[in-house]
Amino acid sequence: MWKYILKRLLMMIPVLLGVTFLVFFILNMTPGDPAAIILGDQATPEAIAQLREELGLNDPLLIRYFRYIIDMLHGDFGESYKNGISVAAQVLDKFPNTAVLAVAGIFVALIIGIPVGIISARKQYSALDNTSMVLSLIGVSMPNFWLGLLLSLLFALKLGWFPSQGMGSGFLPLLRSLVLPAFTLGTGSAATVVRMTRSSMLEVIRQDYISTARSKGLSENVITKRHMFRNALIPIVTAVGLQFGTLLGGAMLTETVFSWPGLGRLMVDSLNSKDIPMVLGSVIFLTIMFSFVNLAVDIIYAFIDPRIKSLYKKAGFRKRKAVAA
Amino acid sequence: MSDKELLRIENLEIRYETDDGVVKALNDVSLYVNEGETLGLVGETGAGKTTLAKGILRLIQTPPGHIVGGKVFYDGKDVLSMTEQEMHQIRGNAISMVFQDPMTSLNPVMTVGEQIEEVIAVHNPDIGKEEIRARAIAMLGRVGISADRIDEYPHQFSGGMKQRVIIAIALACNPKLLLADEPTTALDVTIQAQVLEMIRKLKNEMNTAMILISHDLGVVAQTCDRVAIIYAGRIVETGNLYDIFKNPQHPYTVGLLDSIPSLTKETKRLNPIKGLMPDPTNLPSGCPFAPRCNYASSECSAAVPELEESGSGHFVRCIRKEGR
Amino acid sequence: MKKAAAEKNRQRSLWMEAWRRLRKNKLAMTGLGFILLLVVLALFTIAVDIITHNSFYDNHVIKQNLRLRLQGPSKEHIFGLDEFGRDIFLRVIWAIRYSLFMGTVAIGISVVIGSILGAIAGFYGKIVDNVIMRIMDIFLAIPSMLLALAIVAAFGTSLTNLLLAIAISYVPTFARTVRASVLTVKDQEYIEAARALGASDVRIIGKYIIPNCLAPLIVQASLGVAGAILSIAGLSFLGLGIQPPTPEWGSMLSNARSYIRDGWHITVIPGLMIMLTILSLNVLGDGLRDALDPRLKN
Repeated sequence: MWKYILKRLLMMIPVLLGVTFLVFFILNMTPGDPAAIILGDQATPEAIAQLREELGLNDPLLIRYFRYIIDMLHGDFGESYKNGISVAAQVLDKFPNTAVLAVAGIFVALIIGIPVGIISARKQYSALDNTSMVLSLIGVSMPNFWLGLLLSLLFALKLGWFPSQGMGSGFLPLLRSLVLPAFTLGTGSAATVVRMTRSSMLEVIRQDYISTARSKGLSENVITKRHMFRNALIPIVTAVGLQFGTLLGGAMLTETVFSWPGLGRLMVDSLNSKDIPMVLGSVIFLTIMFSFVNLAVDIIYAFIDPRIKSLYKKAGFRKRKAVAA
Repeated sequence: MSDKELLRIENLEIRYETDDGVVKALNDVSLYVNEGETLGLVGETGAGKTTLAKGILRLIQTPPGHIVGGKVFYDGKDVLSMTEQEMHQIRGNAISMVFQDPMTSLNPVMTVGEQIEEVIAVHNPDIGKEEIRARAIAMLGRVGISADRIDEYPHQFSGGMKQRVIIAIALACNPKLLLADEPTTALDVTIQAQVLEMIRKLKNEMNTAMILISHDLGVVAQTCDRVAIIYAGRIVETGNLYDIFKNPQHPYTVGLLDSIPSLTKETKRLNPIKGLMPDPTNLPSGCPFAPRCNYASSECSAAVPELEESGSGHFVRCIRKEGR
Repeated sequence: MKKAAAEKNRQRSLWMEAWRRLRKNKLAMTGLGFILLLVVLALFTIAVDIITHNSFYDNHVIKQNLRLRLQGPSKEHIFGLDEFGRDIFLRVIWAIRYSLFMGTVAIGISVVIGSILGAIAGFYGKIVDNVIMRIMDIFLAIPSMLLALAIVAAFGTSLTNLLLAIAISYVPTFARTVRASVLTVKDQEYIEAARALGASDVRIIGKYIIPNCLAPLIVQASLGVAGAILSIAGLSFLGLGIQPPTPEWGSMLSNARSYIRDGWHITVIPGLMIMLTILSLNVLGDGLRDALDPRLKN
């Protein structure tokens, strides 16, 4: 098991190198001279040329990339063009806010998605099932920034129950300010989780071992809990893992709607001011987080399904894919 | 074995309502099983054998399946009018079932021990964990699996071993009746005989009655006391083993017997029954076998023949009375 | 040659059968109907622009009329007026082309690129497969919204760049889909037979492999267009997509954000359009999946 995790961590290295190169390369195409951006409008050409030399901007792309990677390994993501503060410091400063939001969003998704999906599957084609299917279709089709605007229109501006902007400090104010963004972020994922849970449960309900369980004289509740749910869990966990990626992207929109001081907003602001090191650092940081979530998902598989666990023990990476698919 | 009746089925009718029409899976099926006895239920794929077994335990999925008529009595009690709660007491405890495919009949994410313990625990709520585990280990031993494998998962077992585990689950609560739905069909031929022999030994030791569902007359001849032949959802002939094998009356039974190779008789080629079973959504009006029968006359398609006694305990659903 | 004709008939009847099943699905047909309505409306607005040489567009869709700003729905303006006094109904209708056509074109590009890459990877296997799919893994490792964002950031906010950004972020999805279908088809015996009869790679790919990939590809593409429209709207909402005063649903919402207290209609209408469009594509996609592969239906 540990061997497998280690192997996966090692395999992440080339992917992350590829990601950093890709993002570095793309963002390097940005028009405009960084030196000119840093020095502002009043700068003399001589000063700009000197700064270019200092920043190493005259070196070839690959050299600059390697320099970036080596700095990155020392935890140095460069400095912001805008205010000269270290990118790593700013990212680490904002990331917890985004993490709180993302975790709350996933929490909303799971707490709504899993029970509703299970009930829907058990009462397939009932009025309840039809209602939840229609609502989840609407849920997956709703742009979350629009949902955010509607929620703040209703619950913040009309009813005044929750704040519409910013992040509260202190536990209760934080919780109150978290409600609307979390629902905004989580609703789409909740709808996805409902659909995934339902179809996965329906797949399991048809299996022979459910007939075996029924023939043992177990009650439907025990069968659902002990036999169906655990077998239905793998596709659900996969969906939730993938939702994290969508959530990190969605966080930018949600954070913009609610002026949430997270990494997403930092990124959008940096984009508008062409603060490339900030954008680069944030994208790479978020991608690393996403990769860890994916690894966590694969490890969770092993605790759900003993067949996957025994494959991991053999550390056969290719075979694992065959089973997961 | 005694002559005390354990299970009686009267005029059972089961239908499936599908997009393509109503499948009349079981029509007017009546049969009985005595304590400790083995009844062989023989028929082609799609004849309604599994539906019958699932119907007895009320495990038919609704929708699309519906039990539309008839009665099932277990030990004198009407099974079809029981509450779901009462059914839980019957299933796995008084009547158990072994399904056809051992590869898919065990839950892949639970250890085999948990799956055996589960059925013991649900029917013996007042015994402790240790005792439950001890009984599970004993049960594994009886099906020939060593105790140290109790915490392994189904994927670590071969097909034959899995079927042994399933049999252990089915017999763990000492049921009065075992419904074995083609228990050896999915196994290798060499394993088939072992598993069958084990079932026979255990059911004799525990005095459990059994309905053995099979399409293999050889298996039935080895194991059963009485035989019922089912065709297109109807019992066409029933009697004791000798009646069916030595004195078959229904042309379908005769055809089935003719289509097995014999070691003692000199035959150039086998005689398969011509044609296919009729579409169960659109059964012919008269005898369902008439379209394939060599002796069919216009009378046959007029009405479904009644099941009539041709000898003591030997019933046939055919208007021709003499053998062939 | 009879056999080839029979094969053709069989394939045609498979598609006819799928269409028959799709037609029975009321939800999917409603979705299809709404999409067709949008297409007709978009073509109509394009025709108007061409005939009037953009004068209608300039005078009614773009021109501000601050005296009437934020007016609610009325008989003359059924969806009301926006923060610059422009008719929201007209703006919403004129915006269709950006969402729908750009979404379709972006997905079209990624379907083509993704299919070619996926087919090559699946068909040739080994090193080729490894190289292509590892590159796809790199793209998949970046959350797609972030990738699109980085591309738009680097190349600037133009229609073409937006299109490119979205197309690139969807390539890996289609490459994977096609590769998976190719792998399942590749080792079938009839492919072996065709190879034994001397059919070339190109012929095998064109005649056997592509038709087998079409069903999953169509389903993925219809869901992909929905995703692309969401991305376009999202990026425009962040100010990184289509720029004002060009009417676009996402950027209309972005402007509405500042005036959210002043009238519900400017927030509700554009979002509703996005939702209905995505909803229609989603039910159509689900319907197509059920129609093309009835085994998957629950």
